[in-house]
Amino acid sequence: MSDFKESYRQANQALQGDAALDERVLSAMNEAAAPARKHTRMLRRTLAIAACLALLVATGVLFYTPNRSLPTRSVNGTTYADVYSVIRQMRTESGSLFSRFVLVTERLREREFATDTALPDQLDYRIGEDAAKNQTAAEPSGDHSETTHQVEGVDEGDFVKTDGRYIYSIGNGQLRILAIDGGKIELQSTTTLDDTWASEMYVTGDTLVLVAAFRENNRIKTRIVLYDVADRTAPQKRSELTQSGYFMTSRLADGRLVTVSYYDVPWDGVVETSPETYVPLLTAEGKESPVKEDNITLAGDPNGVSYVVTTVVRLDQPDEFGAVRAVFGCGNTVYMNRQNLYLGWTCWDGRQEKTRLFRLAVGDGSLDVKAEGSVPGWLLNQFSMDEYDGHLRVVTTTRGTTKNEGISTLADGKVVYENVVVDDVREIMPASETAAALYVLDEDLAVTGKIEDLAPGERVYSVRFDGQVGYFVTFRETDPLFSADLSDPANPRILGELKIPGFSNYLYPYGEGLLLGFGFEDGNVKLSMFDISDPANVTEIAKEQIEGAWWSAAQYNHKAMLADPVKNLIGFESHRIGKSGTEEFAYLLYCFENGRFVPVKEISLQDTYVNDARGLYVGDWFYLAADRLILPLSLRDLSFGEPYRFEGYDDPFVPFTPTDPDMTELGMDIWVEDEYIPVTDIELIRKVVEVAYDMKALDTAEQTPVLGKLELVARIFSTDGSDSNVVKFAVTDYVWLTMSLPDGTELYYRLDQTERATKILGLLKEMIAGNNNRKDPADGPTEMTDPPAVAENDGF
Amino acid sequence: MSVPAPATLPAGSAEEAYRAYRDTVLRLAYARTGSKEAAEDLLQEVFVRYIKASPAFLCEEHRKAWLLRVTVNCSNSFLSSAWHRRCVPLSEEIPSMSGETSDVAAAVAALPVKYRTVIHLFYYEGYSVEEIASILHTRTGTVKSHLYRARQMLKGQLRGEYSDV
Repeated sequence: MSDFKESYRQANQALQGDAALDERVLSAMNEAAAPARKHTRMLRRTLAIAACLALLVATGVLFYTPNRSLPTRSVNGTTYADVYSVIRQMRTESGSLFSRFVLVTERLREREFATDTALPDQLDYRIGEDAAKNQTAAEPSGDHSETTHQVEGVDEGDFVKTDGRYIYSIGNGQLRILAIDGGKIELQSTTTLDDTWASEMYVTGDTLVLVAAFRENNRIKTRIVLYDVADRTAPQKRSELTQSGYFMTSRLADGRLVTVSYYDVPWDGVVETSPETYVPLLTAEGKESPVKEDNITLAGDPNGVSYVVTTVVRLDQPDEFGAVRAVFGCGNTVYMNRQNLYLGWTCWDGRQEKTRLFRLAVGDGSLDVKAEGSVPGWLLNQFSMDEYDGHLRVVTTTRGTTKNEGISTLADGKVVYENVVVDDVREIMPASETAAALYVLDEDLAVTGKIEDLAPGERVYSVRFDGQVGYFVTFRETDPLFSADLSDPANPRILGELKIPGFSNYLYPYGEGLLLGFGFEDGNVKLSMFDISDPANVTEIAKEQIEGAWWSAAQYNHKAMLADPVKNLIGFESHRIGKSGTEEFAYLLYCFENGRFVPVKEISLQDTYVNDARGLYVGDWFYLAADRLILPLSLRDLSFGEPYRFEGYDDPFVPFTPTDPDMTELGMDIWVEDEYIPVTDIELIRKVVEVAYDMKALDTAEQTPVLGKLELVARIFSTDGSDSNVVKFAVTDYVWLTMSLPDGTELYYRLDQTERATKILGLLKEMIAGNNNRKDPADGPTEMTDPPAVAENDGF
Repeated sequence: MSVPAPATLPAGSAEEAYRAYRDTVLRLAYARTGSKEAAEDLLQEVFVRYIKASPAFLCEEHRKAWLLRVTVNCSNSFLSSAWHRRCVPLSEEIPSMSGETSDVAAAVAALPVKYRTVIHLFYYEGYSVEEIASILHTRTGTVKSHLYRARQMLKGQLRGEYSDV
């Protein structure tokens, strides 16, 4: 077998410019430069920053080199004056790119963080008896499922929960409580929420907690609301607390809710004598106050003018915050067990990425900072961290250690990056030579042992710790599953390396001696079962490739996976290209029997408009709980109960008018298959967009979808090439309209009847072609401005 | 709202940028157009736009992403131009890189242009799906499905000789 990537790289290397080409292009550039315009418009700057941040966020790397001295700090507590002086220093010096990003990219990162919620892991050594049982995280208590979580005894929030008698679901700005009795589902109550962004929920006894981001005075805050649901037909709101910043993640352990938010200090209006202008705010019992000096920690080398705000709320004292810790300087990954919360973030030290770590005490409810440290490389997710027997173990992807060394001169063709000069700009990109590393740290977060430079060229794709053994998968060329012996914190060592095709995105303990992998092989979603009874000799004893399945939410979110060894149920959603080329959306249920994966049931979600689905079970019933419906399935005879559909799901449509004067310089690309039609007429663009909106009016007929025939992408961009990305719509197997409105809102709309859509888009195409020829925007075919008429005329 | 101008990379000279990214742009333009002459024309077009727009960049990665995106935009215009339609048969010829045909290059060249684009950014530039979506301003799902379909096609054409597609 050969290496496609390498062959393709070599083929490309053969293609190079030469001196003649250089001369030609450089002279054209000189000519163009003569009447050079200076663009200083804010829009362009804004877009530049947004685009850059999007990339940085996408790569998980924030390049920022601190190069200043900061006031001395104390780990637990500081003074407002010190905080102010740090902020002032960061903002007046040339530094802190990051602080400026946040101004214009708040929304961007909102979305990023909304999807980046995850948590921790397994054996809890110091906590007493119940946790000391050698349970895997997937084992639920009682005969009902729990949200898939990392650490036994530490619950993670989700949009749907069950306690065995009821299903609780949030969505569409509502809290719904449904009584379940086998195949019967009965709505108990629907409560309209203040927050349409409510994303995480916990239920314990008669208490229900919601955590949600919301906007107030143009700033993002996080709200914690407790309901008394003793009467499921009438939930009573008991308390409400808020903290600054958008919601990152939460955990519930031992009756304490831990909520983490991310707060950017506003650019404008920071006043030294008013701490509330630069310190996160807390609201309890209607009173707002800045976080106290004692509860602020200044991180060394902060890489952003922002805080990670962590709070504890005791559910038996829900009117106040039990503890608060605001760490100034950044943070993005949270691991928590019942004793400690670890906050990690990746920053750039001028040579390579490193991950800074904080340990906060949660076992005593204090959130005191107990230790601070760092390791090279960046974290994959919460599963990259784990505490066992007083030691934190961390797996990171590191930059190849020698790549950036010894480069200090600026010469022809070389590239300057901040104060780092490299031969090839790719060397500072995440795609450059990488390796995996494992670190063991003591309770002071000092490294006691490490393994570095594993799997050169690869990146870490999944991690799972299981007591004294750690497992992790890297991917790029050889895709090994490593097992590491961590019994001696001073001397971690690799026990084995199983080379298998493909990779796992997540690893789940699956009962005695088994580890379940969920990932990808050969272009298909894949289940793997590993025998880990001998960690030095791990074997893949079974695998199941879901033929044609190219995407599953469970590849990106562990909560979307059901992996329950006790019930022996494995469930996940799958998008699959079927044999006839049609796209099939389904939830797949498997079990593991006699050494192989056995399909239990395929639940089609075709045409349901479901965005997010979870698999739950209570006793002998399985429930597919999605944002729009709940579908019961008997595990005895695999028959379906009556599905329950939530009301009130209209697809959001908001008229679009390009009014921003800076956006008058617009163009639009329309592609149908590979045919491309450029459009520059603003009126026409407006019309195209209107037609797109009006398609909704046509979505009534019931027809068999004709799939995979058409692709259309329309994109509005500013004609200088720096895209403004205002409207896109695409036709794939369905007609997708994806619209990013100027305020950052993203709208999706799906049309199933592609045949009908094909006709509409055909007309649209004609209209555009005709219009471009005539150059008269007012002259578009009138039937296209009246979509209902089109519908009737074409007999849709 | 008054916002101070963001800090940007030292502008550096446009010539430095050209020398640093000449081949990056050239190779993507080639991957999309399948013609060395067209790729060279596009290279010129992209850097003329670079001079005219003198965009502000916050990091080198952003500069590169901008250039790649403009390359895609410019080649769209090229592919749709009357000249291209007249002169290049729409049945996709199998072009070669620098006169030498490799089966991999030929297989990639035989893909529809949108698939060539994601394959190039993924395998040659080494971007992740998220990064490609960010550069192309599209949804990650779209990039994923393009990658999936492109790989299926490549697999067919290369008859399973390569382990990593």
